[in-house]
Amino acid sequence: MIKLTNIQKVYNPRKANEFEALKGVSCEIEDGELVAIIGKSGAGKSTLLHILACIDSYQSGEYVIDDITVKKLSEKKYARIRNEKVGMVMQDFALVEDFTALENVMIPLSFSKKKIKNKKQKALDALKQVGIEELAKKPCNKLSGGQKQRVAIARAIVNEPSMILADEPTGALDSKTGEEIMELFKKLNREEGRTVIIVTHDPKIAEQCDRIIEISDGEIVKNAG
Amino acid sequence: MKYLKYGFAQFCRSFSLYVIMIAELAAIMLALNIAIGSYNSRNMLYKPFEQYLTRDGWFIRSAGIDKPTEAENDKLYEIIDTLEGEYEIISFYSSTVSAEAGDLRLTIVNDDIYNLLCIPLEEGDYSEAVVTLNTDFGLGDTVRLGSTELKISGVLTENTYVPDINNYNIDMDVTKFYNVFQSNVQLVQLNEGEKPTPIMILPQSAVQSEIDKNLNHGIYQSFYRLVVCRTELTEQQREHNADILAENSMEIVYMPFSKINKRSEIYVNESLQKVIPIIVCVSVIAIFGILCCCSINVSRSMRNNAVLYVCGATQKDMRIINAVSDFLVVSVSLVISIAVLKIITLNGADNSIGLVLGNNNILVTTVFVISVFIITQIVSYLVFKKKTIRSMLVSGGF
Repeated sequence: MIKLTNIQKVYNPRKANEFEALKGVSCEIEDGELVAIIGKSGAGKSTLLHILACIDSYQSGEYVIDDITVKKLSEKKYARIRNEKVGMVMQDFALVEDFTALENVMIPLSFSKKKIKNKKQKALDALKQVGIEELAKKPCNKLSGGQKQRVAIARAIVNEPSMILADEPTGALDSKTGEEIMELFKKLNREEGRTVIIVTHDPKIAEQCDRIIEISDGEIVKNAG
Repeated sequence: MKYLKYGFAQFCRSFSLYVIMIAELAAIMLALNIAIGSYNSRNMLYKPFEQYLTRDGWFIRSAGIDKPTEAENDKLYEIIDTLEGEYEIISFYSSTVSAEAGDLRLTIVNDDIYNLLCIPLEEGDYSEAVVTLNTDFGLGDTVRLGSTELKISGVLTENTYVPDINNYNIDMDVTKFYNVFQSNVQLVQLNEGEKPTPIMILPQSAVQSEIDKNLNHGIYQSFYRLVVCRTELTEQQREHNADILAENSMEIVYMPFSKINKRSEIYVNESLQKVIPIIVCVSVIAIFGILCCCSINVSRSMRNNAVLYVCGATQKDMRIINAVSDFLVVSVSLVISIAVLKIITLNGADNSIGLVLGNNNILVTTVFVISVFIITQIVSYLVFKKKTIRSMLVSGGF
């Protein structure tokens, strides 16, 4: 379970260009939920997602994931949360372009502290799960946008995290491919019970989720199922 | 293993950029080693004589062009006896022995000098006696001088130096204490144009009894002597000695050690003094190039590093991956410069161009390599310092 209490995030604090991106955001997300975070550009939804993914810090408030308070952790433990509890999918895929699909999917396994017997097989299984096993040996710079996003999803799920965070996952894809990717997220949520949180400004995507959290000017203005 | 894998991937990815860095580093390391090799080569000649040249003393002989007579030598010793201070007189001896393999010229040098000889050897060591290369005499062979058996423990390289104190020059430096010997060309300075007789260099103590028995009967003393003062002289004593020698300038030819030493030091440091400014300039340009390449590369690698971070890497992991990549650059440069130096030494070109590679080459190269590596890490650190993972993720990658 995820619990955010009064999270405040300020960019460039005490500088002329200081900007308060999150103004005391509080919410809870249960395990196995499919949640959409919506809002206009600059509303703070991506900032919130990055805080949830432990790739960005916050000034005040409390973030608890599976009973672990994130702020008091060492860098190693932060990394471990990113590695084991969170799978991240980005709009621009965030792949190492000259690596093959398989190599990309194996990255979280390389940094895992868990003893994993057959990393390669596990990565292949993840690729199979997203339907691109045959592309395993293909460099990512030779893949289409939809294929790249599937590689990113395979990488996000390979370490079996409890939570998948997606930042505009269909933003760079055509509508048909976007639908396919959305189906994949729904499948991961319903069939495997993973918590999926999707940041989007596409209402069609948001409508498919169990709950929609709307952010405006750094505050949650709507939190409804 | 993961660091090596991702570091190597980064190295390969940025190879086109790294090529410039590698070429610059290899060129500097090569230039640095050649300069040090040249210094070593000159210092190698100076070292055995330094112990004398830094004291009061003279390079001296009786006046006269031909071999000094016994009376002339007696006169020389008489003059030396009138000098203030305690003096040791050092001379070299020579002889020729005939063996099955042919004639062999012996150069018998003072033990203190022999023990400090570090002229490069093709094989073996200086433990007993060394011979010139490309002769019928080899490692382990023995020859007899009177009743003394002399065993060859080392073989000199081609184009080598042989100690000799029979050369005098008004601009004398330590190089005049040697002859250059090329067995397959000619003995430079001596016997020019003739096929040279191979030479064995050995310490005086090995054949002292033979010298005592056979001096002037098969074993001959050098015309010149090194007169070394074993006591500290006052300025007054020095002046007194200079006056005595000047008064006897019709009887003797001499050169004070102080003059030889001064010229020798100039000779030893000359190569470094010439090359160092060039190396410093090239290094400054190269380090600027390295800084640019390194910062560009770190910036270009940022996004991929951020991807690893998102997947569970720590910032420390990212720094290590960058360090591995930089280490590979420095290592490849090092390997290239070592390979070039190896090619030079394999062909014997190092001796021909007067290079002696020693431990100081390793030391200076190591210091240089570590310095460059540290610079690259500082650049990486500074570039990374002001970046957030979020900004790295949106930065242009590949």
